[in-house]
Amino acid sequence: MRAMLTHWGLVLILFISFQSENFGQEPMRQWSSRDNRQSVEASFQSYDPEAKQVTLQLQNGESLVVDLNELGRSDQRYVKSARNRLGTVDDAQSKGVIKKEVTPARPKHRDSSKVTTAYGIHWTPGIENALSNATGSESSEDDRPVMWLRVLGDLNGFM
Amino acid sequence: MRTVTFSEPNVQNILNQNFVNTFTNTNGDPTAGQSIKHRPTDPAGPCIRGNGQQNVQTLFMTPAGEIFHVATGFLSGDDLLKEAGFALDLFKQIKNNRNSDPSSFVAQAHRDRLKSLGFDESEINEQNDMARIMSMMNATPIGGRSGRVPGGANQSGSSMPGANIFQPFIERQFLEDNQFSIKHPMISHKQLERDPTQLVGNGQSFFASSSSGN
Repeated sequence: MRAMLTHWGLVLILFISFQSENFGQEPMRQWSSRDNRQSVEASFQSYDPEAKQVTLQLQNGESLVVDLNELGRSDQRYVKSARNRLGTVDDAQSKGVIKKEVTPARPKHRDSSKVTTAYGIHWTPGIENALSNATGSESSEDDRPVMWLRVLGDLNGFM
Repeated sequence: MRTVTFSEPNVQNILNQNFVNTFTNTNGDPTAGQSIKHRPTDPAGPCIRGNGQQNVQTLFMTPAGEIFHVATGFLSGDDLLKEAGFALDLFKQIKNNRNSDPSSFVAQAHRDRLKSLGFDESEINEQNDMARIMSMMNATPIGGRSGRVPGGANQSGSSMPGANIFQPFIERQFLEDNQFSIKHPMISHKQLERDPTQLVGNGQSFFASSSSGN
């Protein structure tokens, strides 16, 4: 009996330890743009109060930086609560939740999954996605320029 | 531009092979002007370069979101090819000159472009609206000087016959677009979104197709 309790106690301790190690990792969740037209699955990494920008980590490991006011209200509230849990960017780095980057991380590969085609042109929705796709994965030599069309109306519908 | 400009294979090739393309719907932006709603399938009405400056703008950015070249209003296929070609060359030079100040470089590249096309220093350095009005009032009469704007199957400015009367408008629009990059080289897209009037002014232009949508 005592051996059985010791065994299950040990299992319980290991379980709690495992949960504690993951306590600092933010879970994956759905993030939406303020106009609710775009969404992405990602986890919260950090918030820069000076630039008012949120860093998210996508499922493929890439980082995505978004202006706080471009996110939906519920996401903004989530950022606020996450800040309270994790503290500042420096706190998050010291806890090992995020790694300190000396230079901006380059995307591992260009994400073509969200590219749509209209009128024979390949369009990447969202400026931040386009800028990320335009950044070369190996070096700035692979960088591409972005053509940004600001237009009154929807590309596929009425204008 | 959807059915006229983007449908051209040369335009599709240059944009798809060399650029990452994105768009923003400016509906709701008070600076976006107005438009009589039209479907993509509505026949395109006659448009000259620069029409609908508030309705549509084509901007070129670095991957860091720095705008280094702009063209406002309607662009034909040839117009867009010329502007995209200029933007591509300039982007390559920006990449090769990252150690020097890219803002100065971009501003100078636009000055050089205007000079090479025949614009003089006084025109390039014009600062105020009064100068613009006076310039348009002194516009060359019908049948006057040859165009200074690159691209366009119509150096006279339009596919419409006898369209020289629009040349001053086209040149003025072209000049202002390039002046923007001289005054605001490498401006961040966020800065422009906060105040688009830096580019499009406070006017109220609008597009209309030859048949109205619903």
